[in-house]
Amino acid sequence: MTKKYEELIGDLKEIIKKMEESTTSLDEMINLYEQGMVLVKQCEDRLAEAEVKITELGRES
Amino acid sequence: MKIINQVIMDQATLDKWNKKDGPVTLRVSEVSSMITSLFEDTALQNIWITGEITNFKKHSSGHLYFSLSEQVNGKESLISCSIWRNAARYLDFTPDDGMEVRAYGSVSHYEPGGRYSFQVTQMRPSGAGERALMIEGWRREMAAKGWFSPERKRTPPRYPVRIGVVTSSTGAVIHDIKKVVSGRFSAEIILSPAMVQGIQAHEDIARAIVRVQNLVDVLIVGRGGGSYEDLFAFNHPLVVEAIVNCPVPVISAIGHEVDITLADLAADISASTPSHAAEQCVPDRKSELDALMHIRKNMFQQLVNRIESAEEDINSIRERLSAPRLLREVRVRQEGLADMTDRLTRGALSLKDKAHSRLSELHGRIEGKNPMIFIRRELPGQRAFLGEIKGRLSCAVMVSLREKQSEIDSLSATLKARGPEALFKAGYCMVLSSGNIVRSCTGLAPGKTVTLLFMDGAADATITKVNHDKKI
Repeated sequence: MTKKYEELIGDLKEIIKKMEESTTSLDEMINLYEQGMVLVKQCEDRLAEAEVKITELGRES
Repeated sequence: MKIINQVIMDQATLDKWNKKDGPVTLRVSEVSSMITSLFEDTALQNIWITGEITNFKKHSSGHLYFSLSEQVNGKESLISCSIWRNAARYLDFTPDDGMEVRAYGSVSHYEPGGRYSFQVTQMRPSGAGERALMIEGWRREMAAKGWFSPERKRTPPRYPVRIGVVTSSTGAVIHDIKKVVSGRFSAEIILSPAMVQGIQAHEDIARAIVRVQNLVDVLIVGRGGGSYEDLFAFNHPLVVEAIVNCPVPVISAIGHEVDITLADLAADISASTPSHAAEQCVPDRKSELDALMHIRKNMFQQLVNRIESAEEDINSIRERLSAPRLLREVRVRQEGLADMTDRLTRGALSLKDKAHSRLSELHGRIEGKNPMIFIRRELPGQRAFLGEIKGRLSCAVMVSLREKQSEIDSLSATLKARGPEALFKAGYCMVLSSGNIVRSCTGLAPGKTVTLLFMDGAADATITKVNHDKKI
């Protein structure tokens, strides 16, 4: 299941937090950076979808 | 008895009446029917009447009866009115005597009673003051329940997936919201259509809120600008209560910015227009992209910083591993070692000194407690004391002895003076009979032998006569 935009942003914030920790090793750092870039790309793609769907509820439901 | 409900007057009958001379005599039902048809004039059907309520009565059946009255130049006009139960249910206020109202309905004739009345289907307080008073009453009740308190206000989610909109499906509101949302962010809008004005609007709006509230992350309740009366439904307790009980945050966008309804007060956020509500609902795509760009830069910078610090670490290690540095390090350690040895030796010596002095101190304290020394020190004094005691004792004994001696002397002198010797000297003698001292003549009888004791000897004697006469 695709993640919500909010969840993607949440994951990104976690990654940045870890990257800002002084104890993070270089290898880990590179890993985090790669993951972060994938997430940023996903978020940008999500924003590019300009579609707005409108559903109208029936009155009797 | 058959009741004639309707009399159909055909052209022939009318012609017949017209041909007659003089006043025409009609039947009650005929005139009643004519009156009914007169009231069916369109000018009296589906009209608004404004006036003051008098003689208001609520029947137990739920029907309402009252009159609408008006005074013009001292002349009073009055129309009987009634509201049937079904219509009365939808009144959004409680009518009472003296209230200025606008009533909608038709005049109708009640033939069996011979009365006409105005059948009201909708009614509203007409004066702006009346409405304002009613709204103020509601506002106070709601405020007392805490519906407007700031602590109740919730923050809408930053990135809603589904946005509920309660508004008219045909108005500009939904169009504006869709336009603003699509320009900013991708989200699904779920429209829950409602009549936003009219006599039953408040019920319809409340139902529309309940219908959509569990399907969405945030809810916009909106209506375009309109008159004070048009927005009236958004003050109704039913609508406000639905907003208060809504499980997701509610953004209100009702009327123009100057219009503040009770729904606006109860909503989590009150937006000035539907477009503004939509802006409050979703983040702007452009600012999100900027934020992502910032994140990208930040992550890159963090990585670069980390790599630089790793390089610095390596350089520092390399430098620390160089031969001169190692030698210097060894030297420093050696010096340290020597210093430590010195300190240890010094420390040991000082410890030894301390132990010595402590030992001699203890020795001195033990010596101080030695009993021999005490005895040696105290003995001469004690001896002298003993000698003195002894002298005093023998002196006292001598005195006492001398006293006792003189006492004895005195006593023996007394004794001598009073003793048997003196008596013997005076001529008394002691008589013994069978070795016992004879103190009375009672036991003596003639012929008895007794011994007479004198100071210088004894003589046996025989009793020749006993004289018991005391007077010798």
